This record gives sequence, C-alpha cells and structure tokens, in this order.
Amino acid sequence: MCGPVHCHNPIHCIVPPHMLRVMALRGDTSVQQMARALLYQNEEVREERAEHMTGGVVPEDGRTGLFMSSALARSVPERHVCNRRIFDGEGKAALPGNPVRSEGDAPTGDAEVDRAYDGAGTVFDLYSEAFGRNSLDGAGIPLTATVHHRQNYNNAFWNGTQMAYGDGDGKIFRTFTELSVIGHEMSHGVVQYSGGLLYQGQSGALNESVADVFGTMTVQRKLGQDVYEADWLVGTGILGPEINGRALRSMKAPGTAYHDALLGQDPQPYHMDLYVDTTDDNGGVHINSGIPNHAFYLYCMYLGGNAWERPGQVWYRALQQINNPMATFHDWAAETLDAAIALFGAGSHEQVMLRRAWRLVGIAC
Amino acid sequence: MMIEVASSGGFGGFAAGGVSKQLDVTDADSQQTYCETFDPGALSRLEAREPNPGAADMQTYTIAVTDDENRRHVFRLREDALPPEMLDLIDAM
Repeated sequence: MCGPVHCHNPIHCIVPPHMLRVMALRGDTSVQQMARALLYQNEEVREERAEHMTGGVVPEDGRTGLFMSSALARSVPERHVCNRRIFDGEGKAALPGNPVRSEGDAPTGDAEVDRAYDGAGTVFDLYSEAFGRNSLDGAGIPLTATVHHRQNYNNAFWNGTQMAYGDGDGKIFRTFTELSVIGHEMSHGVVQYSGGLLYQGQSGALNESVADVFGTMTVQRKLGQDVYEADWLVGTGILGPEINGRALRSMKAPGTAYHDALLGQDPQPYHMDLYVDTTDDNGGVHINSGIPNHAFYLYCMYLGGNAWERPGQVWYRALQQINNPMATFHDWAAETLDAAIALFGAGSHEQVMLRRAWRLVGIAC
Repeated sequence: MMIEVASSGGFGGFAAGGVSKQLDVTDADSQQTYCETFDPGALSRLEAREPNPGAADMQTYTIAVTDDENRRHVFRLREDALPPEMLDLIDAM
C-alpha cells in the first residue's frame, strides 16, 4: 500500500490495511483520523464521518491496552430517554432531509414517517428495558431516520450515523419500514457502538446476523410472542405483491423465505457444509448470516420462553465482550459460550444447549 | 459520452433490487452537469476513498463511463461514496 515516495512514517509500511480498518472503526478521534489518512493515502477524511463515528469501546480502568464496550463500562445507571428525529427525504439522496416528526409529536398521517417513528421507539424500548442499554451508543444518542429516501429505492441502510428507508419500487419491494427491518438497521448501530464487526466475510455475516437476531427479537417482544409462537422471519410483508415469498430471510429455515422467478431461490445456508464462498455482497454477508441466525433459532428452541430473555442476554453479552472486529463464526460461537457461562454458570443447561445448537449448524466449540 | 450504471446488494443482498441504466449524455438535457459529475477523474478519486466501516446494507454501484475518445472507464463504488447529487442524477437517468 505504500510506495517509497509516500512512506514517511514507519506505520505506513507496518500496519496492514485490515488493522487500519479496525483502527478507523474503533479508535478515538485521533486514531480514526490517523488510520483513515493512511487508508486514503493522505486524502482527507470526510468531516461528517470523523464527527459522528465512535467505536463504542473505552479503555478498561487501569489496564493498559485493554478495552471494553462503552455501554458495559457505564457503572452508574442513568435515565434512558428516547429522542426520535424522523426526516422526509422527499425522493432525494441528501441526508437527513426535512424534519417531519420529532419526539413527542403527533402522528403525521404519512404511514412511512409514523412507522419509522413508532418502530424506532419499539427498538429503543427493547434495548433499554431488556438489555439496559441507553439507545444505540449506550449514551442516549438521538435516533435519526429518513424515509422516502431517493426514487423507487429498493433498500434500507445504516450509514454510521442514521437509518434511511426507501419506499421500494412497488414491484420487488413495497416498503422498508417494517418493524424487523427497523430493528435490523438500528442494531447495525448497536454493533458499531459495541466495537464493531467488519463488514466483510464471516465478521460481516455476523454483523448481519446480530442485526437479524435483534430485529426479530424486536417483533417478538412487541407482539408478546414466545420462541414457539414467533415466525422467525425478517422482512415480513416487504416484498412486492407479485413476488413469491413470505419475507426476505427465515431464521427458522434459512433458504426458504422466497422462491421466485425474478429473485430466484433464497440462497441462505443453515449449516457450515453449505457455506457460500463468494465475492459478491461483501463476501456473502447477507447469505452466510443464515448459519449463525439458525444457531440462535435452535438455541431458542432448546431453551423456550422469550428470545429476549436468556438467549438474547447471551447474544447481547457476547456482542459487548467479543472485542474482535474480524471475528469468525467460531470466534463468535466461543464468545457466546463464554457469555452463557458468565450468566448461567459452567455446565448449566444454557451452556450445554448452546454448544449443541452450534454443533447442529456445523460449528464445534 | 456514455454512462452505464448498475447497482446490487443492500439489505436484500441480491442484484435484482438494484438498477441497470445507461445514458448517452449527448442526448441529455443536462449534458454539462452529467459530464462534470461523472468525470472519470472525479469518479477515480471517489473510488479511492475508504468507505465508512460502521455502515451496513449499502448498495454497490458499478459505473462505466465511455468518453468521447471511446475509452471505457469502469468504477466500483459503495453508495455512501457517491455524492447525493450524483445519486439524484442516477435516479433521474
């Protein structure tokens, strides 16, 4: 990455790009700026990124070089206050757009605006009440979302700062403000502020899976469904009226959410033997997420009850503790086992069943 | 100048939800705007930038520009690397 002309600083030649990306994701402001400057080959970082990105990890007290999730580091309980800010993109790409509904405002009558507002509140409540987390960053960050993003836009995303939802083209997608999608996008924010999982290959698939897990958990908690009553679908009802499919993904049966002439077959695997090696989709992040998704589903089936209770607590603790943005599926499985032991004890039913769930998807830990 | 744009990925992870468009700029109303916005040099600088590592579910754009000397320049960019003005022009194509 560095030619002799530009190699003024030894770190240019010593630090590989993947480490620089971790530093850009997780460092404090000065480290982020340094890492990005190197990655950009001395090109300036866009200001909005430097302003808003934080990696969500802080140094552990008195332990040089060790970091922990900033959400877990908060020793004094604080009052959690939801602060939603919904914007109308009016079909344009500029973010965030025009403010249309802020916290406490009455419904607007625009279904997309009101679903984004209500959904953000439901996700906030999940993290606050079930996991003790104050918003996406653990420190009460406002929840900013833009609806009506661009024209016929078939996507929703988290851009590091806010959520954005297109309206769909009416053919393939009809909306993106469905609760599991909102929970999914907001959970990408939680992942970012929990130390992050790099959006490529297995760590990227874990990032996607965590977003699906907490997205479906949001729906289940809202509907008061236990793990046996839930449908375990992500994106129910968002596909167009002519598409042959129930949803975008199924955690219960990955690979079966849709089967359509236009979209083809849902490509998600449920087992490591079916892992898809591809360069598309950032190394198949939306494909191979089916494997950890299914492990979570199986674990829930073993434990019963509500997903946001014992299984969700294990997944949430693992996310806060993993401290490895390049984690593999095996790393993640091991971290969830550590979390189960910490929460329920070595040899506990919760730990034994978790190991069994991972084995059933082809991951021994 | 000819501009071809294709996108894939995003929340769905598949190509079908993306766009596939092309525009012969000589026939476009805003010829100057398109030429400036899709200048290969500008696209090359955008492509060199590192995307936001915390972002997720972004679509990927493949943009091919064939210049007046019939040279084809192909760029692959994540959507958050594209300025909103460029995305609006793509939507209008």
